[in-house]
Amino acid sequence: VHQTPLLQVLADAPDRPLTTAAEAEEEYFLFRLAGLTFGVVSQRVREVVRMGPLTPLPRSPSYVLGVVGHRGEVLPLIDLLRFFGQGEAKPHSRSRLFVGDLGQYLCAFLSDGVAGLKRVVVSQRLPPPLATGAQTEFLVGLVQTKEFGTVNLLDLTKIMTSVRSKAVAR
Amino acid sequence: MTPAAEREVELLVFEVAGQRFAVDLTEVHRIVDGSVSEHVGPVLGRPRSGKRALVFGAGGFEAHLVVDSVEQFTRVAASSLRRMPPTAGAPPLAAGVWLGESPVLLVHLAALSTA
Repeated sequence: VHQTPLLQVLADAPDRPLTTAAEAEEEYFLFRLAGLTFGVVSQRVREVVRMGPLTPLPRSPSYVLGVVGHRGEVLPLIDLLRFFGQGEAKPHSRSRLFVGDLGQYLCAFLSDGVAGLKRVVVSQRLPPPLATGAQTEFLVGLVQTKEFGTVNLLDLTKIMTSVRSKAVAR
Repeated sequence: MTPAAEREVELLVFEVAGQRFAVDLTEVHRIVDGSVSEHVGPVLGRPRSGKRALVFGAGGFEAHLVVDSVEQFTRVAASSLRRMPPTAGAPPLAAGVWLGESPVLLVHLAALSTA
């Protein structure tokens, strides 16, 4: 049989891809709070806004700092540190709020600043520490980065669902 | 019938402990001097001067809310009012928010006596 160039190449062709399949990645929105860097899946973050006038709510949960008006909507402003029972965040002029969006409802979260967006290879995520506590309950894992050091990856959906269910239970 | 967006309500805006609040004017029977002996307590914060008190109906009786100052009566469009978001975990006294120059908490006075 005459070996055409094509057949010669095919004879040596591999049976499976030489390169490994692209690893699954997720894009995280990173923010700073109390000297730590946190990340939440960026799909759940609608936008980032400056700290505007805050209207406190008497007799509301301690982690609800109040409500803010944003684009004609009223959003509760959540302090994640209080929510986790890890202290309290202090709003300041450089504070930024990011708006979490679960579709049916929105929440604003206080941060000390935005670090940016980061693609995280899922397989490089480290599991959450075994320690117990409110924070670990909502931790998806940790990831080491060159720019930001250790980033705590949070499950924003779980946090907002918990905020919602606690509010309804009151 | 007037579309909901074109309806207006009259609000009474007042201040307690440096914070502005508003109530439906129809809930307020009258405004008196703040030196009342019985009142609903510092449910909205501890008044600084307590110069005025709002008198309102609560369960067939009259109750008093001591405030620092009464700022204004204002007529606002229903379209500038918002219900309290369900995620806020707000008590019944927090009826909603008036989106004025800055958000103002709308207080349901009748709910104060049970707060």
